[in-house]
Amino acid sequence: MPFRFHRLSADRVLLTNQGGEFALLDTADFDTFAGGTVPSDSSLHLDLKSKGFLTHGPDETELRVAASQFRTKKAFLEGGPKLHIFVPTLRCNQGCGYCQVSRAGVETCGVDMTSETASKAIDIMLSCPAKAVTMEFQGGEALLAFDMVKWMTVTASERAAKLGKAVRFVICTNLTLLTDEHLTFFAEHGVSVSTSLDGPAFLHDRNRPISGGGAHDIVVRNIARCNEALGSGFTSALMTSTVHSLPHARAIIDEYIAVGQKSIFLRDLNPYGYAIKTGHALGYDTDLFLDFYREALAYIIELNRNGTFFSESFACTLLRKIMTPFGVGFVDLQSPTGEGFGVVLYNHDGSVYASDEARMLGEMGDFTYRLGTVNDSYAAIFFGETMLDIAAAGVAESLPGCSDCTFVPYCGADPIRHYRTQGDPVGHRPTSSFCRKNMGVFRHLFGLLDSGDPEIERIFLSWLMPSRTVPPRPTWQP
Amino acid sequence: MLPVFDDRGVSASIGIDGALYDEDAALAAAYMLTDRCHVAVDREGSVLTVTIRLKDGSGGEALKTACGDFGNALIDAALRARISDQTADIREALLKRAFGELAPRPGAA
Ligand code: SF4
Repeated sequence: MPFRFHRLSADRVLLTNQGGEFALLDTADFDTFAGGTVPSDSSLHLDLKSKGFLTHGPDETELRVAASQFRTKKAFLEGGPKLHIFVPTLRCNQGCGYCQVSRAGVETCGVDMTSETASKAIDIMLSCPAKAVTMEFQGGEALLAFDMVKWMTVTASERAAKLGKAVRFVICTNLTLLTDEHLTFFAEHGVSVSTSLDGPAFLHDRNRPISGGGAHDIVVRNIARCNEALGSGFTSALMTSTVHSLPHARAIIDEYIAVGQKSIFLRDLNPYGYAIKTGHALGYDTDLFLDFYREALAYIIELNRNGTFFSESFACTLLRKIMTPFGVGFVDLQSPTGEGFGVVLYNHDGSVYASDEARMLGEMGDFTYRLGTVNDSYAAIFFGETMLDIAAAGVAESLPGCSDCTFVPYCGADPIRHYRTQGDPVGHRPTSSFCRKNMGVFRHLFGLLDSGDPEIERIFLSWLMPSRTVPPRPTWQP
Repeated sequence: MLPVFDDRGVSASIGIDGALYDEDAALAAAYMLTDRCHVAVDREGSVLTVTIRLKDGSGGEALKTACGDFGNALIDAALRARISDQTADIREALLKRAFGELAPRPGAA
């Protein structure tokens, strides 16, 4: 059967197939397999046959099983984009060094979405074939446009109900402006809250300054208020690691546990907007991030060994792809790419972008990945030239470097990021920071799975229990 | 397949028997080095010549390591090409089986 391989070390080889099955072999077994001489009465034969790596036919059943696995992995494509990001305003009250948005001051005029634009955007969202979609409010700081958020939530709920569709709401907010009125509305309408917490006060306040200071204390206090008003599981926090974060993996995780979070998404700095402009000050080499990631993951595993349930969201996303039959709707790691296929963004001015990153390019004056405007038809937006360009560079299985890569069943293409960082949506994987990070994390996770420690597998599987993990938001910091 | 170094030791040429390794495998292996090397692949008759030069202009051990890495990558690339050839029919059958039914049928509205 078709397979890809990667040498994890001098004596271990990883095999994967299109359905996402994997096998870890020592070099001698791999050579036997590659040479087509695995004895049919050996346990190696049984193992490789049961995982769909080896066949003598293939027969109908083997083909059907393999095809169904492959289709299941790509099931995220069905129904079109399911994450719809709305930018009700660009105004923001914080001045984060790494912010990807060309944010506007709190009093700036002309950077708020009108109800006419919002209404058209909601109609486009509900034209998608998906029966259930997520409507996410981003900014700027979305709470500065709370009246519009309220109007959009109520309007989308009413229109979706008429169409027999479901809408899940998420607001991305820095929580510094939270009031009881906001909480009451969120509770009444089932709005989940996604906020940013970069770690202890010394880190958070350095990364995310606010006039008057003390952003960390406000956020921590307001996460507690959200937990109390909305119940558990409705408030999640995200961290972005700057160069200042890298020496403090344990302190960051301890902080998340202290505020009652059950997981953390360890995110590297994305190469957009302010993040790239201040990249020299806040940025770092991918290898340094990988060191930080490995240290943090080791600590998280240690916590789990000692009885504290706590997971890492990026690892969960990859492990779900690796250890279960299912795909994951995480934009960065989809092939075909999630950009436009899984996510779409409606900007305050009515522009429709293939992703938050495409919007960011637009804010920087590059409209390459603007799909159209809310005045365009559904077909013009999702089947237009721009989407065709994205699709052409958006299938990892056909990209140089990725097509042969053993990790491709679990990885993504991210053409817009490669356009931004390498000037070409196809990109050059040997020098791609996206590839370097993903490959580093894949190698580490498979190394852990290959360690022979049954506790590791138990811990990883416990992270995949649906009710216990918070999937990472596929976008950027609020 | 031993590398031949130029007189300054900053570039190496590797001759590859085209009967043993095909051009696609040589290109795939060369691609893997393009983060740190400039690589050229030429053909003369059945012989492929791969010329490797480190981007930082150095030579010595780093260049020897790059040549060794190329050799290993070439073997893996050749094996991948063989697997791909041997499993091409199954791959196609599998793709058809997985997604064929999603394609519009002729005459369908
Ligand atoms: S981006 Fe890198 S790790 Fe991911 S599939 Fe492509 S080559 Fe492999």
